[in-house]
Amino acid sequence: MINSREYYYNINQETFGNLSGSIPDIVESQTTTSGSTGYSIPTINLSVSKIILKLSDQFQLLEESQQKDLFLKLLLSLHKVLIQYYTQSFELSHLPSLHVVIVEDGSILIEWIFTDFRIGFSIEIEITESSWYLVSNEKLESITKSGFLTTDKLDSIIDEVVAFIIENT
Amino acid sequence: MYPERIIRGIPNDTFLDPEGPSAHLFYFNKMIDWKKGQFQLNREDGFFEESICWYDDEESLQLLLSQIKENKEKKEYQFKSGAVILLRKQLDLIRIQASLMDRYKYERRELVGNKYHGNLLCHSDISIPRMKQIAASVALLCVERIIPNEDH
Repeated sequence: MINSREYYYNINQETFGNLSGSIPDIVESQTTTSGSTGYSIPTINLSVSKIILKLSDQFQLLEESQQKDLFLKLLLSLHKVLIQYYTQSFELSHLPSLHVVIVEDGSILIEWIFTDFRIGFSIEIEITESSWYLVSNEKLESITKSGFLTTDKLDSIIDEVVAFIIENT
Repeated sequence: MYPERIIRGIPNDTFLDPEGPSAHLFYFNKMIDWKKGQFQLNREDGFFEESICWYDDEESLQLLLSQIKENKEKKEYQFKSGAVILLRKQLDLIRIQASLMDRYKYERRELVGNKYHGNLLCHSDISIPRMKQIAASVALLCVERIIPNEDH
């Protein structure tokens, strides 16, 4: 059982603002593998990578569970997609904080909160009940999308939501 | 019968993000417990409740902010991080757009010592993912402002 804790991880201007000049090389040969799950996140010269790495390192220390497994896979997938956009010269420095909290019911809530929309992932203890959502205001056509979050659909969901973020920020 | 604004207390900072309240401030926690078999639904109409105060006047806000946690040796405010003010018309818009008029609503329900008390109501046939998505919509669309608890 994961103890109730709160993590805030900022993917913010201060993080990206320090980066300038040419796009740094992605050093895929340097990976960090920790814990028995063996999750590897490429170590690259980007602060956001370090933040997600820190988050994943802390969660890897927790008791093994399907919940933790899905959470780490989500981080990995998100990291991969963000780096893809970064290496294609998309501006990411304006992205707001990623809000991560362990809720009273034991679920892990990851929210990305923007002015006109928000994206959320709820990773349940019973992972088959995990879900995601994207909601927006009238300015962005009052979208309400939600569904179950499964390992096999994870990458496509992450692709979809990050593409939406890039298009609308 | 209903004023324009609703007050929802914020227990602590885990419910706040710089961009706004976190969606789980509007979760129906008893519904989650019920689905797990850990809570028995005690309303015959099949709805779950989450407490609110109706913003009839300034006294209602002060009453909520001054609420003390029960069974605590040391005085501790129930809503240390203040309160969020919601616009009822925006809530109604969510209900209309999502075809939830009969399954997501609100009520007045006075308590002893709190004439402003009421509930947000969510029907038991709404799935947990849907309930959480509705909570996110409320957090995104209905918030007028957040009021800190300055006495804390």
